[in-house]
Amino acid sequence: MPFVDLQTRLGIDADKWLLNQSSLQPRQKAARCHAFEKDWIECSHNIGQTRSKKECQLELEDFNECLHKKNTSKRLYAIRQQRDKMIKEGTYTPPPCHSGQANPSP
Amino acid sequence: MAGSKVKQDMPPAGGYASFDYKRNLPKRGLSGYSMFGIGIGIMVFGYWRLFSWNRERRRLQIEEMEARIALMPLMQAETDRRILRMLRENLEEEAILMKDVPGWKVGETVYHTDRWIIPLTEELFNLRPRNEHLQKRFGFKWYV
Repeated sequence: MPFVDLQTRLGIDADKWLLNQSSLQPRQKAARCHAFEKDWIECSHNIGQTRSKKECQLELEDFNECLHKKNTSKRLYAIRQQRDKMIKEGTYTPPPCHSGQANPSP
Repeated sequence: MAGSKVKQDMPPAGGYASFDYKRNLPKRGLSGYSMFGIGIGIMVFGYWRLFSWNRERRRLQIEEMEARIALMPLMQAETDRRILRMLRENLEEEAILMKDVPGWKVGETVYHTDRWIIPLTEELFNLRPRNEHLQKRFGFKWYV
């Protein structure tokens, strides 16, 4: 019910825990995109959807990027393709740290 | 009828010796109650040993966890250094690789914010052999 916050009245938490990632999670383990979601929610709180779409666009884009990692994987793919192309042309040899002789000590 | 001169199979003189033929079911052993008592006593003793050993195991487990907690800053520092080193290597390789690609900004971040974002294993192992990446992601799994 819209104006009757029944769950707060009854003091129960039937589905608030799953409405967004930033709610209290079991064992207080934060979600991976907790910060981005919190930023977006804080930005768009109480201003309505129309305003939020205009004013909180950067936060929303960051949140979506964190969730789906589209731009990140596109960028990584481009780097990999370029590397394979250059290896085929013979202009590039991977350094020892990237060729399997990596020394994984910190 | 033949006389008493025929040889027949007769019992010995004086008859056979007497022997036991009555049933012999002696009462022996412990009573049922005492057997129950012994069983329950052994069980109680076993429970007592189990519970006290479990308490000891709990103390040992707490000690192990405290050792882990004490070592955690060191482990975290090592992990952080490793991540930063891998990111640095990736950045330098990216600068070498994408030199001739038009419109590429080396090390640009895809986010609009400048807070520290924990890198994915894909990012860290992007230029390394694929089996290292798979090892990092799935090497810990014990099931399929």
